Amino acid sequence: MEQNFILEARDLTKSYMAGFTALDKLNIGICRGRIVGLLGPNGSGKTTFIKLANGLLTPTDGEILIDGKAPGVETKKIVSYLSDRDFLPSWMTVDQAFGYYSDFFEDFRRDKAEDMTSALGIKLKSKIKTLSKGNREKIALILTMSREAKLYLLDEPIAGVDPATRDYILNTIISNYAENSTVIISTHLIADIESVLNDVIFIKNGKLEMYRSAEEIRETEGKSVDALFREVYKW
Amino acid sequence: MVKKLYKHELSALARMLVPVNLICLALSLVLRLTYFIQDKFIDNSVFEMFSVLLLMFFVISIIAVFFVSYAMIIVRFYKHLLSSEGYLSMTLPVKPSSHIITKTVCSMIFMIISAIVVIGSVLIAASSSPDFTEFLQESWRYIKAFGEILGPSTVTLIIIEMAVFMLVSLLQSILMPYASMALGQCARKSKVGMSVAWYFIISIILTIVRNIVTLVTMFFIGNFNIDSIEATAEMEIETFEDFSVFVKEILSVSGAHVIVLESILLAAVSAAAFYIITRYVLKNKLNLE
Repeated sequence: MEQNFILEARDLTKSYMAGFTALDKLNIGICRGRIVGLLGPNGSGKTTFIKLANGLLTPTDGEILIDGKAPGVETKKIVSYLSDRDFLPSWMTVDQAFGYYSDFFEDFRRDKAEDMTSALGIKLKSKIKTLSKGNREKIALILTMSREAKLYLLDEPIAGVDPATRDYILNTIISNYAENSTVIISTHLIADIESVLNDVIFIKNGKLEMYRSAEEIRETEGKSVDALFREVYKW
Repeated sequence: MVKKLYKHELSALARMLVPVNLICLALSLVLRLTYFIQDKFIDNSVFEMFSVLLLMFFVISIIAVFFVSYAMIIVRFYKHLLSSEGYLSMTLPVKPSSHIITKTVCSMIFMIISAIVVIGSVLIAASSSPDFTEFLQESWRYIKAFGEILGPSTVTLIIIEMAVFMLVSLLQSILMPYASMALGQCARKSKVGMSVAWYFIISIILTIVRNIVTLVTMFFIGNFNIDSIEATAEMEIETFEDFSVFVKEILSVSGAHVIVLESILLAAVSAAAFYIITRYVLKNKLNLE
């Protein structure tokens, strides 16, 4: 039976040693077919949340479910994850990286990835380590978005790139995600992505501050998500 | 999926380890050629110096093959699973146990290949020397004579014991750094430092356990066979035959088999423990910060 939520957190808590709590009893259910902004300042728990969903960290308490299941082999099949780290083996060529994804992810569409790469003018035989930082990030994004996943988890995809690249990245995201799937984009650069978001989640000090549709915010508050963000996180 | 893990693991290890093995093989061939030239054509001090230098490089390359292979195997595990690359590797739809088993098997394969390459290279380099050929023939004669006295069943048993012991020890020596790194990555800071610390802690525990087990065994064997051991100690050894009989006696009374079997068991149990620790941590305590 298909679960209502593609991603659900129940009392999700993650404390690190030394007493720092990154997520504090977070409860949230994210629906299918939405583009969701996971917003919050640095250190608010966004990356921790995404890592927990990928099983790269384990919760201290509570649970996180993807399509009703705890992170594991089955959830990894349907989640396409873009880390904020340089995660591609630098010795691989772009072609080898595509081969790696085709081998492990059944939903990876290699032809799509190749089309996007040639549109950028990046050669398949180029080694990852010889690419510029911007191009490495684009290849990572192409790999992530060429999967027909049910859930895309994109951690800071537009941080640290120039505005033109930012546009390219956002375009790639909205024109490539599979139908009826959910895209979660974590960022603190709200103004740049506001226009593509259906819903926004505000996290503050590891707690859920707000989960509403962007449309509703603009209608009821009479201000942009960006303006609201500045208000909520005012020092 | 697991097949593909093997494919990628083997090619990643080959990328790092084939060059080292090839250098070792190439040096042995060059050395062989140099000796040949020295023998037949040129024989002056400059050329001799060159061949000595070459021999030095060859010896270094032999040592490097083992150290580099072992180091690369450790680095590969850390880099692929527990550092930045882990963000991809650990989000592949693959069980942590598959990652560990694939890495262990592929690493064992490469360590065995390295051993074969080293033995092969030494044979190639030394084959030009008539002394060496004689030494080999002589050794073989002794081994054969020894085998005849001990009997085929004992020889087979010894060979099997040695082979199993080496394989299990290799398995243990690969899984031990894996477990150390898995435990080390649980720390918030200086994960590499903590991995090294865990390696030493595990080594110390292992040494203590091994010594206790050996002591206990020796105590029992000694008590049971004290008369026979004393009898063998009084044997006079003058010829090769005497020596063989002495070894045969020692094997039968000293519990040598018991000690070997015990070592195999100890290595197998610790390898299993290391596997369980590594799997538990990767599955339940992964901490990619």
